[in-house]
Amino acid sequence: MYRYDEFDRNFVNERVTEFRGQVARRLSGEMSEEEFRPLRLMNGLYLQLHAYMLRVAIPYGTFSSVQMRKLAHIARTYDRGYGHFTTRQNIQFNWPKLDQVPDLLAELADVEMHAIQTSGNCIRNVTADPYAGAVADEVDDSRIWAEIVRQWSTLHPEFTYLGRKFKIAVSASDFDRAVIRFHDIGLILKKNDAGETGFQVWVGGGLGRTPMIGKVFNEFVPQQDLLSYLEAVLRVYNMYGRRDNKYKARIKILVHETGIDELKAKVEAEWREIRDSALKVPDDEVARIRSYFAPPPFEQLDAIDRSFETKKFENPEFARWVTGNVVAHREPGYRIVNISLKPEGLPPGDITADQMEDLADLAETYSFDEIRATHEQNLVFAHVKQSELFELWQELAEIGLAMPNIGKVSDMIACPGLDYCALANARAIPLAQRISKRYADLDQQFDLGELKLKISGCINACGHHHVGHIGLLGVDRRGEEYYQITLGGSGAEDAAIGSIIGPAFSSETVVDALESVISLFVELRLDKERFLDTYRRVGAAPFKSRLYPEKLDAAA
Amino acid sequence: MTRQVITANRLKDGLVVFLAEDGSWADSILDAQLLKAGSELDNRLVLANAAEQAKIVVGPYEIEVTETDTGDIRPVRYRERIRAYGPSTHADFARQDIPGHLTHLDDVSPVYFNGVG
Repeated sequence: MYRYDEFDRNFVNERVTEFRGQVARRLSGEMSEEEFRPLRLMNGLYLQLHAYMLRVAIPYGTFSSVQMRKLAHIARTYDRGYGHFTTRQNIQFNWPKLDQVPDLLAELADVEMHAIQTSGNCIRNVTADPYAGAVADEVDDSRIWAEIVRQWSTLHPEFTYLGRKFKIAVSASDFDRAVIRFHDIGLILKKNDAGETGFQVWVGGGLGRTPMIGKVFNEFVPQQDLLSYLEAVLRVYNMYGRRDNKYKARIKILVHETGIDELKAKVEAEWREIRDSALKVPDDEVARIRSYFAPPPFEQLDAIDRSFETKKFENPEFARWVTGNVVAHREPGYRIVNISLKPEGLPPGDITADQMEDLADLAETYSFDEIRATHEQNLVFAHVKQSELFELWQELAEIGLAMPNIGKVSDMIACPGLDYCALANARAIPLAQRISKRYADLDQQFDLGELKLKISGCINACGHHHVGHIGLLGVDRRGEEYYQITLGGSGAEDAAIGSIIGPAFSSETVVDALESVISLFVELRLDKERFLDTYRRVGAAPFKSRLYPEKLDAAA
Repeated sequence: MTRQVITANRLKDGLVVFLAEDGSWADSILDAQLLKAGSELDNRLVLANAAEQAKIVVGPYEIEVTETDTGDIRPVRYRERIRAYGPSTHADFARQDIPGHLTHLDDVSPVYFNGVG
């Protein structure tokens, strides 16, 4: 794992001291809310519906047991015993008190954590593939490059006051586990024919009220030129991006309005100017950062562990969890374990302080003291011995975290929605809870196969509804909660933006409507087809006529 | 009959508060002062804005409420009901001290704020 050097440590501590002074001046009345707001946002602190909310960064989603224990302590001491994992590998606390936030941040700094770059119009916390360093299909460990981007972006003087927030994600695989194509910049590590490492650069993706799939701006930026290329993109965005309307200020709008060819030409021109500058990433610096992400001391193990096979045979529940949540590791005898934070009927992404502490202990015992957060609001133990999966599963079951539903209908993304968020139009979490109960039968979930359901409580789309195989968007219809259904989206390598299927459903009827969609899929599906593939094959029409039969009658 | 109530978030801890008759800020909507739209409301908004200047609250504004048959105060908009009653997702976060608040942890199906009261 990355460890702070003296510069990092001083910087984070100085930031805490600075913010302590700002909070004191706010509380004493020297600063108005208007003056304070941008300062608190630079430190991840929002004022939400019921209370302040602090968003803590987990750079590229990797953190240690010590850090997890500190998060548990913070949940207990400064919050109400819970944390909430977000869709950008961060964790949020929903009830901190303003006067205590400086102490909270000082405690975070003790374990090399902070809330910088989790809000405001800056380059946000860089995200990465949660399987980085563990999966066989990657070109390189994406966290190394995420950390290099992190160091370049933190406090970058030119990009601290952008027109709007700017999100970067890094992956190193053909399989997209980091929603690369829906980031302002998405980076995919590649090897060229000469065997050199570089980046395929996607620009202008995003969700929100104007969802866009990113465009490939460069097929191969050599690794040493990564930062100069990023700087060129950011500079062009900062120069030409709109500032007259915050809803048109993201780079996706600039790409859309300017056109790819023209904007690419501007980026290339800028890049030519700065490519051979101090932004060249030196090999020794890459090596230094790489050393922080050195593989843990794996044992030489057989690819097949007999006791594991026996346990699976003897215990169908364990076998189901392995099928559902455990994936191949690049080292023989190891596996990647997904820990679902979507137990039946509970808020997606929520975790109690007790569970945090228990997971910290389990990570120490079973996964080299390391935990990953995923954008789907789950956690990952990246390096677990096959021979220890059964014990780990038993221990997870004891703390209610052995739900085998990864990628299934109940593994939903849901934004905090109107239960917490000041921007929301409708609630998202209670709807997720109702759906989770409706589809509680695991046999049914496994029969349905991969089905990505994503729920947002407003058009800002924090719940990624546009890229759900099925998406639900909460809207306010004359003071009542309604939900629009979109079908056919995907945030993965087969990226697509879902289409709105028709008029919204009331809160009372939306779960039945969802069930109609899923039942029709079961009727139409060929063999073991995924929902998304069936939808792509048959199109929207059958789903429309199932959901809105009265319209069909009217047309006849 | 609908009335107005003034609400805000308390500066120090961010929690939802309501302007009470004695000019203090109460944690519970049940202690809020019921106001008539017009000069009565406008006068109290002046006081509420002064409380913002005095760094007691952030962003005061008025909301519409109805009095229920049992005399409880209920916001008209569901957004304001969630603010007044707490999140509907955790029973232990909901305002159980407020009669008629809805808790939903055990049974998440009847979670509708609409038409209740």
